[in-house]
Amino acid sequence: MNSVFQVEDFSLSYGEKEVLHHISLSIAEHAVTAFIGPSGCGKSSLLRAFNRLNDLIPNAKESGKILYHDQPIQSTNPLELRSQVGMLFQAPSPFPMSIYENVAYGPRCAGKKRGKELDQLVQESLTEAALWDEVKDRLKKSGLALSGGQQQRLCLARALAMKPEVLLMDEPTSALDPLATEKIEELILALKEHYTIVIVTHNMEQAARISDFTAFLYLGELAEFDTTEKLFKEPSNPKTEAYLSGRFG
Amino acid sequence: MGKNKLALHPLKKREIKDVARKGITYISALLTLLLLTLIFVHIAQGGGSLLSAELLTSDYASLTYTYESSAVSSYYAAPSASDIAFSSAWGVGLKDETSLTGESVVSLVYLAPSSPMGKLSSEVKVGAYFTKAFFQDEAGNNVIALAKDGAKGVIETFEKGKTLTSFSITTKGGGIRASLLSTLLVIAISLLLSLPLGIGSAIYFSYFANKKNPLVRLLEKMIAVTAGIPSIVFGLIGVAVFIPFSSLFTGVNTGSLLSGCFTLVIILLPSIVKSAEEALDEVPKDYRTAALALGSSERQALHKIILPSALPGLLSASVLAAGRIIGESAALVFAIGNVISDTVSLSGKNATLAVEIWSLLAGENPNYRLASAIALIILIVISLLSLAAKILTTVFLKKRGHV
Amino acid sequence: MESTQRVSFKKSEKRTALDRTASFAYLFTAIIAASSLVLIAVFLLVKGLAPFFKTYAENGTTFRINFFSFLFAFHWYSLPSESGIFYLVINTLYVSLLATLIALPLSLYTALFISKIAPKICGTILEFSIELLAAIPSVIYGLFGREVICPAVDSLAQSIGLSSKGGLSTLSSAIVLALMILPILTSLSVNAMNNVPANYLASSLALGASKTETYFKVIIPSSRSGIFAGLTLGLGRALGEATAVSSVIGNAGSGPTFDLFGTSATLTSNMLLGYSEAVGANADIRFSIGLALILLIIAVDFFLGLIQKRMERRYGQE
Repeated sequence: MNSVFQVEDFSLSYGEKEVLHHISLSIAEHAVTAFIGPSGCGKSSLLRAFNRLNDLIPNAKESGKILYHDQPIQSTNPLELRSQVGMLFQAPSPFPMSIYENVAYGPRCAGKKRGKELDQLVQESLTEAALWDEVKDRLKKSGLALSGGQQQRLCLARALAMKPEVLLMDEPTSALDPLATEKIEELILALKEHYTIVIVTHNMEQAARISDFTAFLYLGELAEFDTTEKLFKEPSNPKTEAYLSGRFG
Repeated sequence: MGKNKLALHPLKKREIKDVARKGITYISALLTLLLLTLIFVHIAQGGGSLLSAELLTSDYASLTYTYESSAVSSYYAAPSASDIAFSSAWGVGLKDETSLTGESVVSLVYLAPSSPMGKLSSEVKVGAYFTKAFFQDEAGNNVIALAKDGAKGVIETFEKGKTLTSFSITTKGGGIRASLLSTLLVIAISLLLSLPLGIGSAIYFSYFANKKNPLVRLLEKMIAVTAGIPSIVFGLIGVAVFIPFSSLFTGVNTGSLLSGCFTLVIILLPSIVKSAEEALDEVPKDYRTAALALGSSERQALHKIILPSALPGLLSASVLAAGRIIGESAALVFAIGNVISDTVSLSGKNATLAVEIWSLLAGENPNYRLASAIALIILIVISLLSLAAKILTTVFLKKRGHV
Repeated sequence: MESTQRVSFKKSEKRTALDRTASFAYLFTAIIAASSLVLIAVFLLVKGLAPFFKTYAENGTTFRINFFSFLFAFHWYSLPSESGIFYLVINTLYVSLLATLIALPLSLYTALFISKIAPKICGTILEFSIELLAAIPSVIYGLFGREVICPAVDSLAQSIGLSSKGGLSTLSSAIVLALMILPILTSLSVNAMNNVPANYLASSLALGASKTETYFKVIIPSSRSGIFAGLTLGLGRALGEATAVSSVIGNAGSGPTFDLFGTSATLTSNMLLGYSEAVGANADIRFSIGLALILLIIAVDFFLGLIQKRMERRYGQE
């Protein structure tokens, strides 16, 4: 399988505190890779490294390399990188604009102005996010008027509108009810046919359900990285085993 | 991969747009700072030269005083300044100048310590304008020196005079003593009346009231609405209500400082209530609970613990209120009047500083220099008050552990 | 043991009486404070309508003030029987809206700078400067307008071949008013921008937008309601501003004036015009203008409220 991201000996620290130590792994194309582990162990920080959102944090220092299609992302223009690597956040945060404007936001910034083309793009994205049927009659209404699950799918549509190659998801269902969670998980499984997905989750059952590869991060280190089936059935690292059996969380 | 990649705008173009946008925000912020500086600098330039202790303590009206005398001339040493016309016989130095109102005057610029003119009265001092003087010369003839002769001409006459019979000077005028005192008086009384009312209301809303009660919310709404009323309308109410009302106390039927004070009270109430309420809300609710748990009553907790805690915030609110009073003009034009007289009393119609500025501007010959001088004083005081309020608030928040 | 019990019982009795008095006293102050509104409403209404029901005898003639010509005439003469406020209303709205238009972009960009772009120290200095600007009394803005803005406007007019009455004009008034409402608008916008949820920035960046693009395309639109609140307050202040406007507007006797360089008059400037010497009908009519001003402000507030509700429906609250 082709790898989209290649992480080589990557470390990250916020000021004095080192959050990630010498991580090396690769993210496979058209597959779902999950990052699991106890909270505070750096999962989200690693995820955010992939689209350089850590640049926002003033005292963040990185060492090592992350390659996107063999190009180090540190020397890529972040705007370009982020147009191909999309992100979904834990708390759905649609902008206080209409549904249409939310989805059209990214393309508009990138320069897409034409009416009909944009309309079509919006419809495609909303359809891919399984939201079109529910909102097609109220595209001009506010995005905040939707339910939690719908808002998250709106954020997904928003990310999809940029036609990215990769989708990063930071605990996308932890704020949602079980029904909405199920819907999102279905979508992820459908989306992986065309997209590469990396998902951070504190719910290991979710990782077992939907991911192809799983990385277990413990205290900032990559404790184990393998196919999901193998990691869950026969973990090689005793810490992985302990986490999976619930001995610590 | 074969996916329809999104056709992107060239990044360079976006970057240029970003720089332009950021630039606009920098320019905007700079303009705001520039505006503040421009206002202060311009006012300081216009009126700074006038600022002196004399300005603050003298009367506005220009009065002429005439003194009888029988002094004889003597000899006085000339001062070192070379550009004044000096009379060595009388120890007086004069100079041609232009008054604030644009007239040419002969100004008294030097007075020898033992000069007989200076002994006539304390009003005969440097800065006064010479008007006229009657002398008798050596032959016993009367000689008259008039201001229209110009400084040099007057001094020539002075030198001829052997005995002084009468001496007249005109005070400079243009002083703001009365307006200053009126303003201070108005501030004191208005604060005395409005602070208890405003803080009391704030205590009620913050401490005692049940906010779910619709009547309470109505009261709050009523006070909030009052905040949006332009001050000139308050001035009208001052005329309609407080002028008749204060005549009970002052006995006059026209605008007075007292009616102005009452008007200011209703102007200030909404903002005092709002900032006092904020100050009281900042005090942690735990203080009240702890006090009650120790067996004190609500009132005791309030007076002994909550109010002292909120003190800096309440002081800040009072300081801001004082600043508001100094600047109030439109309402007081109606509620007091804009007469610039030199006697200060509660029943008087004196213009306060702000009203005086408006009055000076509204006439046909605006006295910009004096207006700017008064404006400068107001600006300085307001800056100090704002600073004081800011410091009080910061101290207050630091105590709470916020900053 | 008994004696201590008795003592505390008596003490709590005394406490209750004082407590009740205290809480009643505070309630009382609140009622007095609130009743000032009633006072204003009643007297403004009574004194504002009274001039139309009185017969005046002045200068040897008796007259009544015609209500309809008061409402609809386009001129203001020294005889109140021949004066109308219609043109004043139009001028007031025109000048105030112009002022808001001038102030809005400036305050938005400055607010964005303070809230998101400036380093902390710069932001604090700017915020204090704005507080100072807000504290400057209106007369001083009037003085500044007269001495700086009017000559500037005059030069501007002459440089494009028009004339103005020494700069006393609609444009000068609009500029002076804009300067006065700038602080309110800016500080409320800064508040609104500071309260935009932090993850909007992350979401927007994740979609490939730059920081600056986010500020303009997400932060500003998300601050809509706070900015609108500032607009409402600012417009209200501009409509009611008296001494600053009267110093630079030129007091035109008729109108309305749409010419930027022409002299004009507003409801408030006419209320002040010649008040010190006004007696009889001339003085009484000021109340009627005041009543008209309050009604205008209420109407504008109502209209703005409708717009705000419509905005909320379309864009949603934050």
